[in-house]
Amino acid sequence: MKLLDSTVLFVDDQEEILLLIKRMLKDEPYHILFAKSGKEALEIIENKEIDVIVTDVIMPNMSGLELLDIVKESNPHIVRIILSGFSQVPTLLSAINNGKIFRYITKPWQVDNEAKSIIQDAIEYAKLLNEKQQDSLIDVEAFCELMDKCGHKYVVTIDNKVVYIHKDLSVQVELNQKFNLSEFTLDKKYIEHKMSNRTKVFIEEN
Amino acid sequence: MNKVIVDSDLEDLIPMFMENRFKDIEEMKSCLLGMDIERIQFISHSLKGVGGGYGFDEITNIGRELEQSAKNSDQKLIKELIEKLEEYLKNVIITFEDIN
Repeated sequence: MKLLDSTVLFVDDQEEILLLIKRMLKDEPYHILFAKSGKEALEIIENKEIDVIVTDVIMPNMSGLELLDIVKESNPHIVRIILSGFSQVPTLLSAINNGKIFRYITKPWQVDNEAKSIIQDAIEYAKLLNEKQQDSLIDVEAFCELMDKCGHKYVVTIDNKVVYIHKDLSVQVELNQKFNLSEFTLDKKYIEHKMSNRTKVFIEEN
Repeated sequence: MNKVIVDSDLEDLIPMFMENRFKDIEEMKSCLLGMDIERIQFISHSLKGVGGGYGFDEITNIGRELEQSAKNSDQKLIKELIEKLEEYLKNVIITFEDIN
């Protein structure tokens, strides 16, 4: 993954801030997307491949920290940066210490070289996570081969999207084609097992 | 204090930026009359966030003081700070330069 392939999502309820960021990052070698609320950000994440998210803290309805909580759970590979005033730093300490936040950028948002450098570091870190994910996908493939040999019916999901499904299941899915799990109706005979932070397998109960 | 240097890349955005700040002032004046201090706190928080980003550190400073005075429900200070912001915006001299 090169920087050019990377996408950074900025979240702030102030349109003027987003406009400022768009203008100041126009020459940077990555794609940028914008959301004016946590809800809008989650919709974008659902539909696009995002590598880094940069969010304001104080926003109506869903705070930046609440948003990052959800992102950490649903898409842990997205590198998380918070945009915060100095006065908010004490409240962010636990979030920083427990790994919810990769870095924070101080507000008022000065789109200077330091901020650009933090974003580039985050993209580099996202690349590393992506490489690790590729490794874990190879493991999943081996796991699926084993399951096929054993004859168990199963569904494997990564970030709640179906990536592997047993050939005999009534829902026919092309291998590697990603669908949202909510589109499937798995009956209660399937038991959920967590393989990693991102990967789950649902195995038919005997 | 009344002179600011703004990045040339932002030059075309500044008229709208200034217009929005005067709108903020009118809204805060109206909120003060209507005792909507919570709304003043919200607007002043936004001022604090947006000012420095565009190069207007003084707007951020006044916004910070306004937010605090709104938290303290100090109406006298809120009124003074709104007037201070208005005075600043009317007199500020903007120069555009290539910064980054």
